[in-house]
Amino acid sequence: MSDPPARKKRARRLPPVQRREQLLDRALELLAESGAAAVTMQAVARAAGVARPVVYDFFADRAALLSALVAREESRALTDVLGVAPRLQIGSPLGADSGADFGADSGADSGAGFGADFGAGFGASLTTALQAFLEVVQGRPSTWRALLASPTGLPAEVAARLERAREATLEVVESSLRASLGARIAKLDTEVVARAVLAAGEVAARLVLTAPTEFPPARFTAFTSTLFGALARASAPAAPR
Amino acid sequence: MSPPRSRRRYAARLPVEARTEELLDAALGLIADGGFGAVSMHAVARHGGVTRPVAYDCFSGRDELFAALIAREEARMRTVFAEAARADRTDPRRLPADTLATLLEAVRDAPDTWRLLYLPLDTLPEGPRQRLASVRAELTTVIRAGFDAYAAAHGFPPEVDAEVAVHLLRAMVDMAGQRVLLDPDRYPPERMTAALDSVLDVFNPQ
Repeated sequence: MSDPPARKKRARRLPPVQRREQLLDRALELLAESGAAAVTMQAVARAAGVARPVVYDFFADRAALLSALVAREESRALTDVLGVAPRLQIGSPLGADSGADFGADSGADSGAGFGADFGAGFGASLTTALQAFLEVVQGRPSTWRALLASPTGLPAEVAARLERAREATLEVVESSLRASLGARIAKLDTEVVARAVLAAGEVAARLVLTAPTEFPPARFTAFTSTLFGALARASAPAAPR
Repeated sequence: MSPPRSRRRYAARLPVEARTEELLDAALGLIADGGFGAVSMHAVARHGGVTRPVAYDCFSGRDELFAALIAREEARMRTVFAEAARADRTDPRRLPADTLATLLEAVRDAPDTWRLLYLPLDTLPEGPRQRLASVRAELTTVIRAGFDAYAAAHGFPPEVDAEVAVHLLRAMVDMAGQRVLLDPDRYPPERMTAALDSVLDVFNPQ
């Protein structure tokens, strides 16, 4: 609508590559702080201290800008996630070795059934994975706020792009589950279980982002480890009555 | 805005209560397809096969129609929550799947009603937004009660953080509900509850 007020100060000239990054940085801040609707060409220009045509030099329109932004944040997130990939492997032995705590009560007796030991190991690996994921989220909050943003107000192509990323993540979680839980559960519905794992991970990430004091990552990992410990104990054969 | 076409058929005369119900059904269908923005007295009348004056006999305007609609749908959803809260607590193994089944079967049977629960709140008019926020809170209460019963039956120690549990469970219940809404043939309630049971079974004594 109206142009920015007269306080317009000339921005320093920047080489195009840096200017583009700077515009995306400002757009990311707007998206993370105020949601998709706040990201307009004008708002980005104003936040970057440049005239609107400068933004149009780099991005044909708002959808192109948001697309480029989401692409950049996706690749940053992917780099971070790949960096902790071994810890994210659900059901890997990495997590299982810390299962000693949980299996201790029930594991001593070989009659504990497969529930207790396997469940404790699985729970431990899930805890490790959750911790790794939430640390990644906490390390780059604006990126994850953008990636987890409500699709309301996003151009359709950008929402579709985020949806594709979710589906790709789903496949990774599925294959991880197939290799772990699948060995224990006949006819495991990996798709549905993976969707549940992702839904839980996503809400945990949102809470870490929106209420970091109340919900630090450690609160979630304390939860999963106590939960799986309690489940493992409950699944041990009934104590003498 | 185009005038009703000449094919206008006269709807059978109905008592005002029955007519009101029909128009609320029409409005619910419009919301399911296009959100609250798709609802006008004109659209509701046309969708319900009546003239605008007939619609105005039932509701003074859009706000009153929204209020009546949300009151009806809220009552329907709360009835289901009450039923879910009555899930058999005698066998804790059955509790999670029974509760989930009650919720998801209701979603399958009345998708337009439950779609209201999953509309982004920021797209709703003020009145419906407050009511639906309160219905969402009620679902959280049901989940909390279910978790507490399960935890008690399994002798969970108090360190198991119930608040975190409810956040995570709520996200998973919402995921399941949205899948049933999206594609009930591919994601029937039985599929979702079977997946839940298969995972919990790992922890059941053999």
